[in-house]
Amino acid sequence: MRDFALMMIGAALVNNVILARFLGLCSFMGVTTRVDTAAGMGLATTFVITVSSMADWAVQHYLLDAYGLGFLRTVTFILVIASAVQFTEMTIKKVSPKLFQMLGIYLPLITTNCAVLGVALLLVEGKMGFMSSTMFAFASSVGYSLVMIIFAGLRERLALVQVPRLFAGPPIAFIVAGMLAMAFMGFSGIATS
Amino acid sequence: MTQLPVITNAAARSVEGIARVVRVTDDQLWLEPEQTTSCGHCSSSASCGIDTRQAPGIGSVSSRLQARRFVVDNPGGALGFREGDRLVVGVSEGSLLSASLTAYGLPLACALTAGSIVQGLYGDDLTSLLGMAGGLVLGLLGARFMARRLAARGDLAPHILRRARPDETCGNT
Amino acid sequence: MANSDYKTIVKDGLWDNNGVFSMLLGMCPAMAMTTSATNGFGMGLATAVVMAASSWLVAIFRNRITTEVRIPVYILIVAAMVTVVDLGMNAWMHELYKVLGLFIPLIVSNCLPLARLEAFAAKQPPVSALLDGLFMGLGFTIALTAIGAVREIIGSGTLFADASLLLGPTFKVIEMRLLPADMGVLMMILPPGGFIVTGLLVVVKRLLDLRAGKEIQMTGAHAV
Repeated sequence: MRDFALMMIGAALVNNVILARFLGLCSFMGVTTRVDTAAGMGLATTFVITVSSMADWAVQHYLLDAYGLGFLRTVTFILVIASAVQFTEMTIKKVSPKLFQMLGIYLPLITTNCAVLGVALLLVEGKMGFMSSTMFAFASSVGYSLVMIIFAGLRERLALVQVPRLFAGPPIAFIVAGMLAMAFMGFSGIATS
Repeated sequence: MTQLPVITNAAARSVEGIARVVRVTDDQLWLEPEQTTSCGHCSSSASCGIDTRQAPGIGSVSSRLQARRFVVDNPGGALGFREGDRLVVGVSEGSLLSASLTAYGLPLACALTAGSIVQGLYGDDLTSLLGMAGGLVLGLLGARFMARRLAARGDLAPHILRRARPDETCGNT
Repeated sequence: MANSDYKTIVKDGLWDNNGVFSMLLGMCPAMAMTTSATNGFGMGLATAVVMAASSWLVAIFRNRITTEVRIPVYILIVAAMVTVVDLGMNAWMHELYKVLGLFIPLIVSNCLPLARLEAFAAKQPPVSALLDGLFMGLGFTIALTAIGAVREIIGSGTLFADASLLLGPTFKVIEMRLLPADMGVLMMILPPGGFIVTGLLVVVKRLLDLRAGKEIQMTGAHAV
């Protein structure tokens, strides 16, 4: 149990998907301008990452490993993730069209972003059982959401600041992200994985 | 030292998004959200090479945006908008969060709980996979119930706030 | 006419529309794989090969791919090319492959190849598409090598360290030590350095463009 908890803390904070592994930077830079949108986006991504890692685990275990098709991993995973995203949208639409409609306006489309594929590939490297791999994916995406929300808060303040014209936009955002990454390095003493 | 302006009245803020009128019927407006992939670039920037005006096709952004079209009542054309107008639509701040919690948080929590329980009982990969899938379905049913309640309270319906300025994009609300 | 066209393609790819510094695409490998100039160079080359090959393939089949299914087809073509590069590097450049690891398959989810396929290769003849893919990829390589070089020089005082090990013995000549070993600022090699150096290099590019009398591209500026 203790190992399990340490593994999850390690995945969420120490080896944070965005700040330590550099996955999902596209959405990190693009979406996070408001805290509530970032929180919604984080929840959506958490859902997609967890569901697609479940599916990827099954595919890897029962299809690729079983028949020695490891070299098809990239192609299959991309397809599995694309279907998982499509599945998510369709299910939400079936569950409640009104909900789908509202989320559709305010939360950007989730395309195959590299955080989703990256986490799936990390899981294969880790060679974990089903439950621990799903929990690892969940913890990683919680870390992702956490950083998205913190960064959105920072950017809400940043929007009010006079920034030199050359630094306006992405450059200052990168530098702020660098400082956030420094702060997150403080977690590296907690757990190692 | 200058003080940063304090972000006040957080409760009164509403979340804004931009939608384009795509069709006007006698008493309804059809709107299409103007967006954005998870790369976060809006119609103003063609950086991802993904442009909403491009031809639709499976998996393309424009086809998926078409699937996200929605309808707003416009009895007798009272609102006076025309096709191609860009509008700012808003919902109250809390409801975006509760909507995404309902849609994503609840099913996920159910799936993980069910998976952990089954794993604890049997400890076998395949059964916990099935348990998790079962939990996911249960959670989605729960989400359906919750969404009905949210919809009944009127939280889910976006309302039109104003016409969008030409330079306004979804990034800078 | 064709000549000047090719010139624009080359210039766009290498500088004007540089994937990393202007369009801010493909940031993940641009920060993760630039702890040294050699890593950045290797990662960039792998991406360039994938981009050139997939642009060329898409351009050849551009009249056969219908608009309805184009995105899945593009993704599959890129994924296939990535698999080829992945297996090839595993076989022939194993040391480099071990360093780049996860980020080779992740070329698939890099926005840059797909963006160029959609914006350019789908409408152009194979030769221009091949050139566009190649030079966009080389521009990406230059950007990654630059980020890597800055981080490596400040971080450990060397430039192209381990090039002979990762790229092959012929590259022994470019290994350099510019600063004494104990002057390195470790922070630059750790993740925060990636963000900060990339941010500053975007500023440098804007400054150079401004000097040259061009408008600065404020891509993504609306997002802040």
